[in-house]
Amino acid sequence: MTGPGKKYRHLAGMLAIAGVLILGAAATFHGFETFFGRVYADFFYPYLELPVKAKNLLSAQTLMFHEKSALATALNELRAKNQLLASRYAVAVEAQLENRELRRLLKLDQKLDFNYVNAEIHRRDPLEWRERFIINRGFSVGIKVGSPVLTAKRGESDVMVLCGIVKSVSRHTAEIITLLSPDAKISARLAECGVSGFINGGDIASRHNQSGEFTVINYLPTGNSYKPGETVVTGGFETHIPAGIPIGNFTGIIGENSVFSNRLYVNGLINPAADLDNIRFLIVLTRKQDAVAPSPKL
Amino acid sequence: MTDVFILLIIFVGIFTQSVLGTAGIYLPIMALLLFYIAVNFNIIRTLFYALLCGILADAASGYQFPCHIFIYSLLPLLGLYWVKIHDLRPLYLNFFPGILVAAIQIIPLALIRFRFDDPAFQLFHKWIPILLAGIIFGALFMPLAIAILDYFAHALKVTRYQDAGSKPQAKSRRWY
Repeated sequence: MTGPGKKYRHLAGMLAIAGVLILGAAATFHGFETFFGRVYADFFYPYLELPVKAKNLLSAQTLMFHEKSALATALNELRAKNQLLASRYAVAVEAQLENRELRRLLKLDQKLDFNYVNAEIHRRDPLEWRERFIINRGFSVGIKVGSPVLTAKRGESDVMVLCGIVKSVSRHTAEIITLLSPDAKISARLAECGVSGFINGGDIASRHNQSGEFTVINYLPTGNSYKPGETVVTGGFETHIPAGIPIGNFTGIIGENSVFSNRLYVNGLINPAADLDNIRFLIVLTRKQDAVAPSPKL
Repeated sequence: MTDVFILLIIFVGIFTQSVLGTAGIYLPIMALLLFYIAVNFNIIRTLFYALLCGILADAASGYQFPCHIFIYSLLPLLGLYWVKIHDLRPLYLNFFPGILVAAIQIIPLALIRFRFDDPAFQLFHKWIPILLAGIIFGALFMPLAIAILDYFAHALKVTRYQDAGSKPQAKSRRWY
């Protein structure tokens, strides 16, 4: 066999092996996706957590540049807010007791209480900045798939709004998909007119354009009048997501709501209340598995 | 030692790209480092590590279609071709593969993830800036990475990038 022929045969053999390896890896990818996903999440977790810890340390140190009087004033304000929230909770206990008694009388299952888990963003993909991110808590602290994730409302740090839901969990991390992701299908209700729909329930994708970012609410009944600016809250159809958590503001119907249309449902746009560009602290709600909500202390 | 060197490069690439990504900066560091590995080492060995990185990247990113497997598997072929056609000694000439590798990394992702609800906004607000930043970064980073990694390769007595084109073709029965 001549030299060039042998060389080309060798090259062709290498390319054939390469092609088989590539196609094999692509074909078996979904079988190994979970394993490699957890390897990436849990093996790299301590190393990727280092920059987060460094950032938090730096942020805490910058507080020292403030005057002591300013820090003391801020501390007193936070104490007052905590006392106000504790008082509101004490008053809400009455509704909780009444709910429990009514459920007992109607022989309905008691609702389970929630665990509240603090989390921060661990990792984020710039190409999916508003659709998805990873937090630094996992099933080791009780986070489950489908749990709602809350963050502070844009411009109002005291109000917590729905940011997304948990899509997958590893030991130390959890993947969160936001309302702008087409995989986040959540029941929703327009607070004023009381109409229910489903976020990302259809095929229309969320929008990000010059006007802002919007997610889609589907299956709104035709014939109702929907006012722009109306508050949208969670519907409570899901076991893991309590009803009444603010989601955003209704901005309008997609397409024309023609009188001559035979559609049973219309679709609308919602502007999420969470500032998805600047998230730092998050709260994940998880239903307690076995314990019924304990009797509140009076 | 060669495999340890490659794994360390991959670890640094994944760590750096993840940290910068969390800060909102998308740079194709992993692809550029894989190209460095592809030029230095045998194609099958490089392909193995490229597929491993591709599977890790796709699993971490949650994409349904394993696009990184195909993107990263092109890099060993590009490295093989680059070694054959070009003298690797002048560092500054390696800006061109840096540009090419960045484009190979970003353009397929842009095509897969492009949304048509406001194409002009998507193009000029998102993808063109990402592509330009990646290309400029690739052009600057590639020669710098070669200089730094070749220093460590020389210290570890592993093949250097700048010597890859001139190494003798040793007769060996090893398939990798």
